[in-house]
Amino acid sequence: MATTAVPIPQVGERRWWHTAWEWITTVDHKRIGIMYIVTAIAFFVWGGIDALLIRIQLAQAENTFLSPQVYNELFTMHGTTMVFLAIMPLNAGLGNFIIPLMVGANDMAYPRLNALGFWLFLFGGIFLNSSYLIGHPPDAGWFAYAPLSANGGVMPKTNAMDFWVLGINILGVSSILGSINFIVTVFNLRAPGMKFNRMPLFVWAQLVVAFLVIFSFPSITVASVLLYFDRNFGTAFFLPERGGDPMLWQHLFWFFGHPEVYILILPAFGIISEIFPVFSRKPIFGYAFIAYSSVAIGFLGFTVWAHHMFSVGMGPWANAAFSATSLMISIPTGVKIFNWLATLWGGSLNFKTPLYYGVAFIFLFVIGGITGVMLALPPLDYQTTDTYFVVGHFHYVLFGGAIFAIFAGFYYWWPKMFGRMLSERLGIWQFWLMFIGMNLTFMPMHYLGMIGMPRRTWTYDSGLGFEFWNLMETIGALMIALSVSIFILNAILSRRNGEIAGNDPWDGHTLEWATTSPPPPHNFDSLPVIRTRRPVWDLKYGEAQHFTKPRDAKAAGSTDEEHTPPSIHLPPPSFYPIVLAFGLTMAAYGLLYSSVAFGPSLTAIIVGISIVFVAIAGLASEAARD
Amino acid sequence: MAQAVAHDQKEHAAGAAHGHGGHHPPTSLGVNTRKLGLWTFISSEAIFFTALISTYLVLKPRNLALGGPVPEDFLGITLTAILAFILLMSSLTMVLALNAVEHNDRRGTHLWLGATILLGLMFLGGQTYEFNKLWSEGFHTVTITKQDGKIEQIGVAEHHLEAELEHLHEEYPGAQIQQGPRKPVTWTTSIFGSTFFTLTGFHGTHVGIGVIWLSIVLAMSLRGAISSRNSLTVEMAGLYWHFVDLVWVAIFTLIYLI
Repeated sequence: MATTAVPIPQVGERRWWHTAWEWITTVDHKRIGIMYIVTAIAFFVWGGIDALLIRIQLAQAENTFLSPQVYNELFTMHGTTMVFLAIMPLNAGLGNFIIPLMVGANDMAYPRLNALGFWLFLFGGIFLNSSYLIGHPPDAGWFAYAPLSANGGVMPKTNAMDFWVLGINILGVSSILGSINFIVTVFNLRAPGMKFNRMPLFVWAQLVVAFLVIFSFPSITVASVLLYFDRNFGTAFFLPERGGDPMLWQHLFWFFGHPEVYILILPAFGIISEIFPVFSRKPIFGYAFIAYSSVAIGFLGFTVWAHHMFSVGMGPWANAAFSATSLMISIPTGVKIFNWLATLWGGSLNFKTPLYYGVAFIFLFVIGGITGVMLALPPLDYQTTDTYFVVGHFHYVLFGGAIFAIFAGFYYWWPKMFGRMLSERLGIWQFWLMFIGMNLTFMPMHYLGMIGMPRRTWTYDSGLGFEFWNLMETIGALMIALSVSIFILNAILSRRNGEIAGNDPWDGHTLEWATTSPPPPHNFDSLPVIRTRRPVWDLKYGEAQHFTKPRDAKAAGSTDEEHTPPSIHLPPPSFYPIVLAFGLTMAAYGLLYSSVAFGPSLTAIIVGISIVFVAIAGLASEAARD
Repeated sequence: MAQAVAHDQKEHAAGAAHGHGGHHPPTSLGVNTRKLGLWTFISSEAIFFTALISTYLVLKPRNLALGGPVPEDFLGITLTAILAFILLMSSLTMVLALNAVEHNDRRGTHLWLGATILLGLMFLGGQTYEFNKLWSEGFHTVTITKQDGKIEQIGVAEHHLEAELEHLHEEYPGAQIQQGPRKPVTWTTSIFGSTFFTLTGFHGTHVGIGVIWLSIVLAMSLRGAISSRNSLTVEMAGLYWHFVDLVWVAIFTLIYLI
């Protein structure tokens, strides 16, 4: 188990800009995955600060800490940041690092496109947040309901929602390109023997998510482009006074927005499905049921979007139909819950931090799921729509569900990514703070919603019975903030003094544990023969099933960092991805000012698009040389 | 177990046979990796156009209710049927171009690629003509105040105006009929204009990108860089081109014919 702790070889005159250039031009899925994760954690903290400011404002009645306008900006940016800049890229980052390892590939199908996806994500996030500095932050909610978001003659016209529209589209391009890459990688680059029905369940979940992205994002692309036209070029797609239809926005948005919920949560299901068998030292219970439930959830996810619109007046038939399809989703989801419980049942549980998060995930996600079933019933939805009940519901799903599973995934895969363990002690501290803080923050929201506290409202009157629980929620939010700080501390300490992990610290059974920690640039010198769903387990505990090539050769090879077997071709680094992302972002800044300063705006668009074309030509010629 | 391994090897052999990439390694699915990526992208594009077409269809009755122009008056079937024919022919020439490449027929490749590009440009020219015609002809919003006080608005094309006014006077005797000023059918003057120009504009942009793509392929071919070994380059451009043609079939049927 000889492992090198330093991933980059120390060559003589090595300056920081050499390292920076290496990361900027990298096309290695592992580095791109790490960049995704680090950037997304930064945005997660940023969105968390939004949330803390909101909570401070709501800590007491009639508070004037924030103005109504700033409050609107904060809840819009909190939602947008957490959905597009935190949870999605955290999932994309874990997927990027782990999927090629899990299916036994040397990299993603399109390494340069992969880098482009990351740079578009980073630039899209910067674009969106630059609204704080050079304009007005978006202020119409993350769902950007028209005509409010179209400034239908009511609000003073700022370019706030143009930042949102254009930022969302840059991020949309990033997500679609990333998803095409995931789909092709999983379909085409599986190692010999890695049949679909032997793929790890995390890969299954990410595959379904990739399909959800490519089928749902075009809908918000169309919606937001039409909104941009309404705002800047005088069309009236969503302006009712000129014949447009606000309902059309809601349908187009939620046809994306609901699958988006599964885009956020399905990778979490995948992570849990990987962790439970390892930490209960049992095979997963009902592999096929879990895999096909992901597919069923993905499919049904496209049939339920209008349950976000029960109260807008679609009529009883539409409401009943969408209610029925929404309730149906609880069947495949319930199947998964019972399979996970059955996996734990009778296992010899190894209670480490990932399992803490995993078990808490089940508990919290089920609460969010049950309130979800409640909200799928139109009569209850009429009562609770736009109240804190809904806020409580989706935070149990997205924080208790997605974020808890992502932390489980961090603790589980961190040793593989960096070669060192995260501290268990800090991990358990972080877990309990987050678990208690999370419940203290979001559980009272159900009660406050039931007694009538509206969401998206900057303050509330005293004497309504809201004060006590709002104060508790703010204290809970501070506990979550402390908990996240402990994680960051843990990560920093681990880089320096973390325990050396070795190749397989958890006694895992999927392919990523068959290589070094961190893995070499080409991932595997040789792969175990894959005859079951647990190739590494077979290798360790099975009969005489060994590597396709002798492992000793690999152990010898791993001391030499730059060693790549001659048969494996890895594409050279490329700076075109960041150039392309830069050009597209420049064009977006041009579009931002199209109705204010036509000349400079057009120049920026033309220059930006030209840069995009040059970069595409560069990428194409590099691809031709491969 | 030996059987399993043998089976895997067979799968890979199949992969090598299907892939047109030549020097690319075999894939698990047996489909070339680049081609699979393009198919995935195209399936995403299909949803993009579905959303745009749905927007057109959803807003169509609202346009009529507000006295917007009646699409049938403006969208000539003859012109667009010719355009549809041109695009479908370009799909045929595209297939012939790929066939020529696969047989290392360089003259045929240049001929059929050139023909496809030309047909694409003809389509774009036809679309420009149509857009210009819509803009220059214009429509009037006619307001009918009936005797019972009910108000109805209809959008009438310039060339129909006199006949339509006469017809309205006959149909609603005693009603007050006012004609609005002439307005061109543009992107912003009516919901019909907004939805129509957005949908056909995005399609036209896709055709334009296809023409650029095919021109690059033709330039490569003229420099002798295309042969049956890398026919995939032509096949990829062709896949995209066929998709764009197919979208036009949907637009033609749903927007022009219905």
